[in-house]
Amino acid sequence: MRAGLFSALGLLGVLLGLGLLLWGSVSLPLDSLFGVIGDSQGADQVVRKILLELRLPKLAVAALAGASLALAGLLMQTLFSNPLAGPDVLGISAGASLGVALLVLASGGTVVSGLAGSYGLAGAATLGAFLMLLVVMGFSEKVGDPTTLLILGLIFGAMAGGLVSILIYFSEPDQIQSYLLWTFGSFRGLSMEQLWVMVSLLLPGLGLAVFLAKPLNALLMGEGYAASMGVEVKGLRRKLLLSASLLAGGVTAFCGPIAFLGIAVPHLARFLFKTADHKVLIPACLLVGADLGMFSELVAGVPGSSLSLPINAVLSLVGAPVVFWVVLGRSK
Amino acid sequence: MRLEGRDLSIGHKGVPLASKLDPKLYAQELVCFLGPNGVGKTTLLKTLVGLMPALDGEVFWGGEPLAGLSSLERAKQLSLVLTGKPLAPLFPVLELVALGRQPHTGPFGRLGPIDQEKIERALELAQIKDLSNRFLGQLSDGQLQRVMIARALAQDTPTLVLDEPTAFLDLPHRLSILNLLHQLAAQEGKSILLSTHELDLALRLADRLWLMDAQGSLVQGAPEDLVLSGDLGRAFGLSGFDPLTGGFTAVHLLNKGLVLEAQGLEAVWAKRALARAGWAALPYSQTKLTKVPDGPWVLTGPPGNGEFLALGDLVRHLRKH
Repeated sequence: MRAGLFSALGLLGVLLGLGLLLWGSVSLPLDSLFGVIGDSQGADQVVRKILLELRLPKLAVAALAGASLALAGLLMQTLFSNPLAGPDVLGISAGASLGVALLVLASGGTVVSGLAGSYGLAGAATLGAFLMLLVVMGFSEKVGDPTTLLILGLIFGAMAGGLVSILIYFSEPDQIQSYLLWTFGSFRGLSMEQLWVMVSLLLPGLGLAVFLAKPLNALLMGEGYAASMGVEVKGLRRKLLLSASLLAGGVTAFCGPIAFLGIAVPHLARFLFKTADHKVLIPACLLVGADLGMFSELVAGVPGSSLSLPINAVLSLVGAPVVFWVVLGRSK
Repeated sequence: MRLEGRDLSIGHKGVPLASKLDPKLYAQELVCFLGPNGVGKTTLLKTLVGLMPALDGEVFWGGEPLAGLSSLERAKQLSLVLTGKPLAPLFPVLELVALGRQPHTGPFGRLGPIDQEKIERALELAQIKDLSNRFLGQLSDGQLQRVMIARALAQDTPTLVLDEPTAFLDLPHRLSILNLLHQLAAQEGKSILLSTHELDLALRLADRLWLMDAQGSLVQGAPEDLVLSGDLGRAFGLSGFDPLTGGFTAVHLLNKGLVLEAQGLEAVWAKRALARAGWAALPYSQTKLTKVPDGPWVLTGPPGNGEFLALGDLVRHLRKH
């Protein structure tokens, strides 16, 4: 049953990936794909360029961002033992936004381009995310009540948003534009070099999380129980903090603050697999997250037209009902 | 000695709640930890199990100082059942019990045949085999408590510590949980320490009691010894503790008397009902209450004759006058 679900999600991912490669403002036939894979000389160079330089990075970014945000959401929900925790609710995305705003607006908007720019952007977003998570965690050790903590996260997010507004107020229009474009959220327009920078941030975060599956299961019962089962709770908190900010920060740096995916996917995964075991939920969140990321990119691209919707709008329309369902389900 | 505190001071953030405590838990015994609310029972438990630092003094587990044990070594010595529910309603019971094996498994928590065996045994001991395919959200409070105990048993430690395992349960479930723990101590050789407010049940089932009074001093001993020495009555500082039954008696103002003509159980329960209304059974009185075999209660004399099928009706009648 579990293996079947995993295969189905994997197959869905492959189909969505194919869809992303073939459909877009120009639709390509399936054999053009084989042409590019099989024989690089004979293939149409325009088709080749579209596939390898535009659609493949887009596909990779959508899948990676979806998977990473979903995993970050899962880690946060277990860490805060709160079903509504996630990168955007607890102010982590706001922290990343503040980092990027500071960098972009302070440097005159030039840092967004080029490889050095991608490292700078990634560094600023990850550092911002990490610092915000650190503040929230600091309070989480004082405030035991998860609901209070959630409200605190929202307040910190609002404060970061306020600082960003002040920065924007004192900035030149072109600086503002490069920042605003970033906040819309997009899986597109990344060069292969930028993609590699993103991967180099996400992989350590992912690798760390995989080794935390066992203590995460113990943490589900609360910190007292976890400690009584041999978990070094403080160390685990720090590792979760690091992993979540690498994952959320890495994605936010290159794709902008992406809404809802981080909260919604862990619930979908739990619902589908009927388990709380992180050894199942971590791969499940990665798969469901990647599928949802690719699906929303496919919808956002509006196949057959030259339209492209903001990714956050599409995700909110998919993600909001899931959060709604969780809130309703818990009030029963 | 499984668990021991020496010259222990406990409290929050440097403010002592109680000091100079020497609690002891021996092998294969069930100890019930009693005391009024707010005297620091949970604080002492948390200090003993290492979830809180001691302000002064030292805690020993199996003769070793607690501070010298790694968290993994601790997890193999002592398992916990805490108050509060885990938040995940979609947590399968079997997975939760299997968490108890964590200290014994490798970095990815893969369960071997020995682990499966211990989990199976824990389910059996806690009598929840039929619940193993359910989710936590589907359990009653009593069932959930058994699942938490099964998880602690799967951890396979010589010592179990439970913080108020009977809170929020109704009487039959309180009794069954305490009976289960008593069996585990007597038959499985576990050392079990639990805090509770169930004085009645604790007096019957515990091998020893720890009593903490409002002044923060700790008295230990077999329940019978503590009753005979008067420590039990003093610790609670309550009137109405009846050393004859080991329970609490309600204090009634008895200012009227009647002659009771009834036998056995009916006489016992009629006395209770009468006491509630302020009447005592006397050798001589103008008023007489007679139980007709297989018939009603018949009252003659003041405050007025009457026949009653139920004692409740009789009490209402007596109160009216």
